[in-house]
Amino acid sequence: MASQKKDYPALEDETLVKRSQRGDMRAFEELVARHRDKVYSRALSMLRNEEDAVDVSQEAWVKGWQRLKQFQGESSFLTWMTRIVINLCLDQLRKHKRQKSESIEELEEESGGVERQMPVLTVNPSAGLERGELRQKIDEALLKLTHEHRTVLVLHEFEELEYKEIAKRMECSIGTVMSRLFYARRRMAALMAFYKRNELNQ
Amino acid sequence: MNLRLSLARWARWLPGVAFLVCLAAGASASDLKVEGRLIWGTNDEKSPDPKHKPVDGDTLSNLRKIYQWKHYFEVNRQVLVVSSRSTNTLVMSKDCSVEIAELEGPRITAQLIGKGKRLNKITTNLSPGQSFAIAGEDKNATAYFVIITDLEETHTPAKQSAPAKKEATPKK
Amino acid sequence: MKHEIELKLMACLDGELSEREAREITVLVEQDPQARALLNELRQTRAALHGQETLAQVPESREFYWSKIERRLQREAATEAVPALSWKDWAQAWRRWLAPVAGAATIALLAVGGAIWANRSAADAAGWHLAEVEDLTDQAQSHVFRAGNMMVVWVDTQGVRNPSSWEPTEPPTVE
Repeated sequence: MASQKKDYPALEDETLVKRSQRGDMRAFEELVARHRDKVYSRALSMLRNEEDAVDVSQEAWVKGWQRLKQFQGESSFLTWMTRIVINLCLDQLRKHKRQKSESIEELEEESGGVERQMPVLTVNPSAGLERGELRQKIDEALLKLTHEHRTVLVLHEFEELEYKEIAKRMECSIGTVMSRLFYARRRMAALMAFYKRNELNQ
Repeated sequence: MNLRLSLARWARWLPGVAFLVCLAAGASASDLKVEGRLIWGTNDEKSPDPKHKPVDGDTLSNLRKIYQWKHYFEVNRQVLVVSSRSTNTLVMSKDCSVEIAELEGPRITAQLIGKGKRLNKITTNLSPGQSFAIAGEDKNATAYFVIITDLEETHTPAKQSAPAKKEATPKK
Repeated sequence: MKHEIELKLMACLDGELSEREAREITVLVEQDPQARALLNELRQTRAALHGQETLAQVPESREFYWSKIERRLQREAATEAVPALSWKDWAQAWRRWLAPVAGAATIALLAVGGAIWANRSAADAAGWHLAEVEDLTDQAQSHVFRAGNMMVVWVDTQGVRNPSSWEPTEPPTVE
C-alpha cells in the first residue's frame, strides 16, 4: 500500500484518469494536486475574485469526477477540466449580471461605438517591458474591462477558442463576440499605452 | 479494653483504606491541562478590536500555508485543567465554547458549542504538546480557528507530592 | 472606415475569414493606410497578450483544498448508498456470529484498556487518525483533514449562525 501511494506522482495523466474512472479517488486527488493551479488560474482570470475562483474551481473538480466516464481522451485532461471550469464561470457571470445593475459606462461599452473613437496606436504597447512587467500591466488592464469583454478576451487569447465556440459558450451571436473582442483589444491597447506613458513620465 | 478492640478493628481496615487512597492518588495523576486559542482569519489588515493581537511566528506561517486568509488575530486564549474522568469548558467567546472531557489514556472528547447549541463531538487522542483545531467560516468571508493544545499534565490538589506522582506517570 | 470592415480586419488576423474574404482584406490593407495601422495595432495587442496569462497559485494547502472536494464527493456518494441495516438485523448478526467470541473479546479489551489507562503518555502521539467526529445537529457538517502535524475539524454550519460570532466591536466575554 505504501509503495502504491508513492507511485501516484510518477504516473501520467492518462493512467491516473483511467484509475479515477474505475473509482480510485487517490488517483483523482493526484490529478487535482497536479492541475489545480491551472484550473484555478482560469477561474481567476474570468472572475477576478480569489474566493469565487476557489469555490468555482472546486465545483469544477466535483463535476469532473462525476463526468469522468464521459472523458474519452479527445483532448488532454487539463483542457477538458478547463472547459468545465469555464462553463461554471460563465454560469456565475450570468447570475451576477442578472443581479447587478450596469453602470452607464458598461452599457456604452456593450452597445458599441466607443472603441471607434479611440485613436489608432502606432507604438507597440508591450515594447520595452520585461515579461513580468508586461504580465502585471495586462492584469491591471484586464481588471478595467467588464466581465463580458474580459471573458471574450480570455476565451480567445488564452483558451484559443474560435469565434463560433465562444459564441456557443457565451450564448450570444458570433457578431456580438466579434464586437466585444474588437472593443476589448482596442481598450487593452489604449490602457497599456497609458500605463507605459505614465512610467516614462515618472 | 474496648478502646484496644476498636483500634484493632480499625487497624484491620487500614491496609484496605491505604490501597484506596493510593488508587485515588493514581487517578488524579492523569488530569489534563489544555490551552484554547481563538484565532480569527481575515483578509483585512487590522482587526476592528485593538485588543486582538496579531498572530505571528510559526503559527502564522502554518496558518498561511493552509488557508487563504492573509491575516490572523488572536481573540482569546484560555488555559484549563480538566480533572481525570470529568469535563470542563473552555469559554472562547460569549458565543463559542468547547467542552472538554478527559477519558481513558490519551483519549479526550471535545464538543463545540456555538450560541448555546452543541454542534459536534470530537473524540481523539491528545498527548502533551499536541494540538488540534476546530475551525469554520465566519461572516464576511472570514474564519475562526479554535486551537486546542495539551499542555503538561498537572495534579489536583496542588498540595500533593507532585514530583513523586509525576514519576509514577512518566511523560513520553 | 466602416465598423464592418474593422471587424473583418480583426477576423482576418484571427484566421476566421473565408479565402475570398481574406483576399479582399489583403487588398484593402495594401491600399488603405488607416486599415493598415489598425491591423498593426490589433496584431501587436494580440502578440502582447499571447502566453501572458498569469498562473496563479491556489491560496490554500493541497490538503485543505482537496478536503472540501472530497467532502462533497462523499456526501453525494452517500445519497446513493444502500440504506442502513435496521437494529434488528444488527442484533441477529450479533447473535449469530459474535456471541461465541464475545466473552473472550471482552476480556482482551479489558486487558488492553487497562494497559492504556495505566500509561497515558505511551499512546500514539500522532493518533489523530483515531479521531471520530459526530455531528450533533443537522445544521453542522464536520470533516477532518490533516494539516501538517495537526488534525483540523472543519465545521460547515449552513443555516446556523457561526459559533464564533463574536462581534468585532465587542470584547470577548470571558470569565
